[in-house]
Amino acid sequence: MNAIPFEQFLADLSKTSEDAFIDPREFDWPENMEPTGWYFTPELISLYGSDTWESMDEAARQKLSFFEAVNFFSLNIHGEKFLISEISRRLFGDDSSELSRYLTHFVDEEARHMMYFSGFCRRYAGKIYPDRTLHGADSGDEELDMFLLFARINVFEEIVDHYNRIMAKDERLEPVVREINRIHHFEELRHLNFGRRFLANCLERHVNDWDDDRRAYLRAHLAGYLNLVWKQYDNPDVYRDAGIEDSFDVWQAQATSDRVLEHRLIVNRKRLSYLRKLELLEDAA
Amino acid sequence: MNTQAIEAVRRCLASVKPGLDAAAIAVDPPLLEERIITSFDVLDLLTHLEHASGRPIRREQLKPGSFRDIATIARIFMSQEGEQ
Repeated sequence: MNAIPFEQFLADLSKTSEDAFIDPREFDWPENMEPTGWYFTPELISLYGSDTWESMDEAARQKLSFFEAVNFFSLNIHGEKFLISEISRRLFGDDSSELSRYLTHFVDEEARHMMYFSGFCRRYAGKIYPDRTLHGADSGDEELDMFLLFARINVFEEIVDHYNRIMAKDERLEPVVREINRIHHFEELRHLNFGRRFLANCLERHVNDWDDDRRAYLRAHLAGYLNLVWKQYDNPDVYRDAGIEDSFDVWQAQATSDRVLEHRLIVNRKRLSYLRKLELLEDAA
Repeated sequence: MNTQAIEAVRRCLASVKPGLDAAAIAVDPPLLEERIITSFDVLDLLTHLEHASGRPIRREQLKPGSFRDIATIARIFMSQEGEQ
């Protein structure tokens, strides 16, 4: 049982967003990035612990960490672009003015996050890795599509936040990278809190209306989406840019690596167990 | 129809979905519509297509219609026409 009514919960989130506004124009961008230095927590780098990783010296690992950071920020940009577009077209079409009020802040915060991520990628890498995901068509069931949208957003953000939390505190990393991760983590906490409550609230209202077919569709869709999110963390272009030979073969080996699958399982358990409790994601077991 | 390109696409599909008998799929069944692949498979498929063709994928190629069937994928991603 939730202590605060949902509408009050939304109003409180909006007030916090209004009071704790962070202006990207005030961000302090260094002129250049040092060629040596850590840009991504080594233990979180996709190839960490692989034969390729073991064969690299420290300078090569640091170079890889730079492009892993560019990939992480790029996939965030693309995730947020999708989120902004999908949420925006639903704004002020619902029964709850508090919901639209908060979602307007949500969209605004995501747009500002893109300024940090793209600022880093364009300044220091001169590029953003392209989006290679294809978004399937809506099911046509408005209620289901709305629910799935927020479930997907939450899955995406929970995993991103796992990385943000660790990298915000990792003193080995370049300060600018730590700060981007810190800001994102700080604001995403509200989004995650909202997402969990929204999904639980939605299920509470509809749990008896949704038949087994609908629940099976939801579970299959979310499991597929979770797998897709993780795949974006392994990018052969990153390996190529870091100077790794046979980047395609290295990428292919990632797909069946026990080390990779174990890492994903640990993060899923840590961050997505609430979806399992809602009987939405068996993979988070 | 470029049979080499068609076979290359089938090999890419088989790599993305190891349980799939890609050789048995004709060139024209709608892949997404018939759920032979899903939109979630496209990320891996693109990487395999890029590797097989030796050419980078362009953003404008990424639309659901590009993955309609094997013949379309071969035309857009594996042939000279796709370079336009």
